[in-house]
Amino acid sequence: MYNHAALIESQASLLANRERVAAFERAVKGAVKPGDVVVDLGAGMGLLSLLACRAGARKVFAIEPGKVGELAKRLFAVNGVAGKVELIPTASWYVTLPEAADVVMGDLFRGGLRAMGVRQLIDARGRMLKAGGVLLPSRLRMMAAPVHAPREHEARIGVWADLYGFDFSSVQKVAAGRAGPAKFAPGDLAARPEILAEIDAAGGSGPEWRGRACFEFARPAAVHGLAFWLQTELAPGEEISDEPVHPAASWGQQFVPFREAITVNASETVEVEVAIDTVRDALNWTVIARSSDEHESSRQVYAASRDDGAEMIPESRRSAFLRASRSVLESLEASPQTARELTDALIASHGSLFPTRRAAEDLVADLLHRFAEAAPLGRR
Amino acid sequence: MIVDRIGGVLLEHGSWLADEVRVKALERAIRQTIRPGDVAVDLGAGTGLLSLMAVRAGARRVYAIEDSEAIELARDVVRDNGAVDQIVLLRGRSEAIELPEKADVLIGYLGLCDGMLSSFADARQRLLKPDARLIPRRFQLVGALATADGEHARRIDTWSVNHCGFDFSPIESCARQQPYPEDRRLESVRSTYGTLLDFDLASIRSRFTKTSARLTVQSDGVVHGVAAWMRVEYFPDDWLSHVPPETVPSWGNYLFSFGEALTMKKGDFADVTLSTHDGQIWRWQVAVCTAGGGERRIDFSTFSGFPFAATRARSLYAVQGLTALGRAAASAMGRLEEALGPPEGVASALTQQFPDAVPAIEAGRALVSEVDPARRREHG
Repeated sequence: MYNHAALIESQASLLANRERVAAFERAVKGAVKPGDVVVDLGAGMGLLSLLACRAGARKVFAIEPGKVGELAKRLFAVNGVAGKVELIPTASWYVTLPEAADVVMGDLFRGGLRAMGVRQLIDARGRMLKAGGVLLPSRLRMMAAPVHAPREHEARIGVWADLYGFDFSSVQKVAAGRAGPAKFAPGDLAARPEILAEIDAAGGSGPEWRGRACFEFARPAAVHGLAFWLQTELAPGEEISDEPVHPAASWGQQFVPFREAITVNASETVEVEVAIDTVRDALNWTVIARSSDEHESSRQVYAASRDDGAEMIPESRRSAFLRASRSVLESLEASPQTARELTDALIASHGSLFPTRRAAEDLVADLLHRFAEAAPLGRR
Repeated sequence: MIVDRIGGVLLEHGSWLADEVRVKALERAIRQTIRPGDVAVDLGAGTGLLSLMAVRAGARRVYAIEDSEAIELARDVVRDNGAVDQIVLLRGRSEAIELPEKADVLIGYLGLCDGMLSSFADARQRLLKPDARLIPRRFQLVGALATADGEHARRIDTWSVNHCGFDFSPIESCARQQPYPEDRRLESVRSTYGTLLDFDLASIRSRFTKTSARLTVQSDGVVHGVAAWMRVEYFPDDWLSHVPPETVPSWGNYLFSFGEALTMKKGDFADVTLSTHDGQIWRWQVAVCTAGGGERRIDFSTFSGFPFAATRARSLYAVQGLTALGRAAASAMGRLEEALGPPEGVASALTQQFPDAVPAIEAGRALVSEVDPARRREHG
């Protein structure tokens, strides 16, 4: 709870990637004009907000729901911009700003493409940006390449083959086709990277992604899966990319393993089709290997969705939980209370749902964290 | 290229299970501990491997408790291995779960994590018979003064220099006071070893522990902090140790940093006191004595190492009211509970009814998914 090593490390590696920081610095300088109102989505420790202030922004709304916002506050103070930057500790889709922005910007895709990031960007474009305002990044490209990656494939697929005499093949099936972080070297790529899908964020694109790419092989290769990465156009002519070139300076790529490696001969092609449902965080894709005479040598279809890990709760129990949660919120609405009082009431009314007091306390704490505010002093 | 939670969970669990040194030590302990007809509890069961091993060793019933998506995958694994009648899968925190019978054996995952002691203590009290056998029985951290690689200096120095002309120094004191996960191949041990933490899990009463050791330098060099390695007793006198030169592939180690590089000579020493409250807060107090007669005192803690956010600290006693978003949440719960249409319809109705708190469809979707009991924990 109080160990922030990982958080601080991720912020440090952000700064360590100098080319990337320099690209953002140029892009923000180009986008923000003196007197502008600026929104920083997913502000992190606030680097882009600081850059916007230097470029002359009159007001910056730094939206950051995470704990890292506490660090941003300190940086705004010590760098003398606390009066200009307002930190908003809430997810951006719940935020309504008092004025429309000239620039909406965000470093939303550190460490991979998040469907949530795309949705935040498109939502903010629609609700927070003035007509004719600047959106940064302006364009997102999902790049892909087939990779020869026996070690990564073993770690994700092979490992489940035979575990100490038990059958884990069901896990192996789930693992195939799922994206996970990896770092590749240029030599791991079995064919030239292609654009798989593209979003014109600044233009009219919605949050859905769909695309296809065809990879040609100069020489035979064993292909274990696909590497994906993001190429981001911050502003026209200003691009950053996570392609496997400078491993140290990159966030790395995502690797999607095939169930089994496929062997591709020279002059054969591999076709990939992808559809991303950003609302359900679902990724559906099809891989077709085709020989030069158009004969299909293999076809693999994968689907991965956020729903796969959802807790299986029977409908009656789910309704009961919803009812119990609502009773907590409604009793808070009727009169301000402490967590202890709410827990007592919850156990009295819905005791059968909570085998231990701790279980009821957990639900109350979670609801208070999301939906409560401290009542004014002296109210009781 | 969507960042996939299950892909990440599988990669992590796969790497633990692929560590034969650790898994074989655990299976040895399970085989020796379990008696035919035993009831066992598996705390942190993951995809179910250790539960299956307990059944293979003769357990009549195993309650497998896990608070992540992994347990949904365990359902198929348990079925495929014909253990449906023996293994009961329970999703959630062990503190919030009650069992129909008390267990003879506890199999527990234990690491340097939040609530490491309270979940064990709670399980011992509520879920186990008084004379239950424990795996592991004892947990130790062994430390020594160490030279880290350049990476460690970078972690702290990053914050003392300007980036893009901005002052990041407020983060420096946070960066010093974190226990960093380290790669021990990249560090060298300079001193004698000392025990810095020692939990006898059968007898431990307090969640707070404090242990001191004197570490004496054996070879001249630069010291960056105290490196610490785990040692766990799975069965009487059968220890699994990551203390050099022994190694457990899937275990890491930590460096409790001095926040600076100290030059120490043979015979110099450091008196180190490490304390923790339930793995949540770590404090290391060090008195370094060098031959030159110098003494330096370091007193770091992860609690003072991060800005305290008063708004996030909702104590048990603070009186609280409902936010506007909370009112919308209560309405969302009511609609979902009565199954008034699909989630998308509920999301859209919320934007109509609560335009201030739920300004757009993305906010409605986010809120619907936040209040759904099957989804709630994804939004922590």
